[in-house]
Amino acid sequence: MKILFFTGKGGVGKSTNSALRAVHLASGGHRVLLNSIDPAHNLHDIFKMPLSEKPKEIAPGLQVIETDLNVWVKKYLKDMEQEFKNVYRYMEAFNLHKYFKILKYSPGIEEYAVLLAMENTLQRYQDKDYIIFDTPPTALTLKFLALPKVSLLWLKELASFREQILKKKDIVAKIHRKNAEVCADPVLERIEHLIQRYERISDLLTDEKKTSVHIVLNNDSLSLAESEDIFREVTNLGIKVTTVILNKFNGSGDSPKDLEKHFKGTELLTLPAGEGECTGLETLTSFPLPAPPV
Amino acid sequence: MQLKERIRQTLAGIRWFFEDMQQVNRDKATGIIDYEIQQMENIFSLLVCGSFIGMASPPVHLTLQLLPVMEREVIQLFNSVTTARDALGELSEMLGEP
Ligand SMILES: Nc1ncnc2c1ncn2[C@@H]1O[C@H](COP(=O)(O)OP(=O)(O)OP(=O)(O)O)[C@@H](O)[C@H]1O
Ligand SMILES: [Mg+2]
Repeated sequence: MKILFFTGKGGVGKSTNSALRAVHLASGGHRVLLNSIDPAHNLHDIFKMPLSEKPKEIAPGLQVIETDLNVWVKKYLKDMEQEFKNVYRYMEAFNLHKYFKILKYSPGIEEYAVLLAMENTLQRYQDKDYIIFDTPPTALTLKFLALPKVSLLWLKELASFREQILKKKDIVAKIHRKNAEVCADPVLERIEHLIQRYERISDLLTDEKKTSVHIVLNNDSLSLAESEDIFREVTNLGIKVTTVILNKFNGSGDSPKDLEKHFKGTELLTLPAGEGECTGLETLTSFPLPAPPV
Repeated sequence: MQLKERIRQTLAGIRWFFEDMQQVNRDKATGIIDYEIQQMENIFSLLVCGSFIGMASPPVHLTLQLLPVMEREVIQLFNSVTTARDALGELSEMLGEP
């Protein structure tokens, strides 16, 4: 299974390009899932049909989903609230429910919801040859791609601190000759469980045989600047940017060759501006794929 | 027979006494480490809850996933808030008379 992320500044053609790639891969005989994790979906406009969490078979081998991030935030907070209620039962007076209602607006929850949605997609659709993500705006995309790594940094610090505490407890137990029945520490267990989980995701994202990021840009300085940010940040996370797609290219502006030096180690492709709307399965099927500049 | 029983009881009593003494000594020896452990646990809780109280903090989702297994630590942290004003007193009480 290969995972593709289409990123870029707003309006450059991320959705169009992810749809185009999905359509072409599917018509080449691959099993493809195209999933929009952008809260402002536009795949339904591109395919001109209503879409939802439920995969819709749009062409042979091609299923499309628009993920509802709110559903994921709600599900996650509800699960957490239940777990809290089970443990801190005597804190009813604390009115947990109200508190969790507010948490939904807490920074960090949104990118976690994106990560959860992505994890779920990867797990549920393991039979696909390709899973293509149409990503949210840059800031959110970079945050959620960084989340596994950031989480791991914290978890490893917390684990080593926790181990120090446990070592001291062990000394005390030995002095009291409690024959050191090493009882499991639920906190360390949970930390280790989380470490495993984020290592799995992080390994997958940083495996360039499996995961690739594709940056779409137009020939203007703003989308170039944002693309450079994406390229730098994503590369820093150890995730491979394989192609940079100069979209709606009509021969004017910077030469594609000049762009290449901004994105070392990637392949620069161009896609011409189509005449009229670039929507509908038929149009996409007959539209060419991005290709190296001539 | 009765005498033997009396001696046995006395010896047992002496043994208990010494075991008690040892326990007291052990408690004294571990008291400081216990205190240190408690403080470390409080720091750990503060680290985990950082985002709730405005410190540098792990992502919120980690806090939310760890707190349910940290009931004891959280209670301990709440309790220590009430004694925080007299940390020195707490410490000297634990060390006992010089
Ligand atoms: N190569 C192309 N030729 C002609 N029109 C194009 C091309 N690529 C994109 N478009 C058009 O440009 C507009 C924006 O494209 P698209 O919706 O794919 O961008 P996006 O990056 O997904 O935007 P958003 O950030 O809003 O999600 C659409 O109207 C689309 O049809
Ligand atoms: Mg889009």
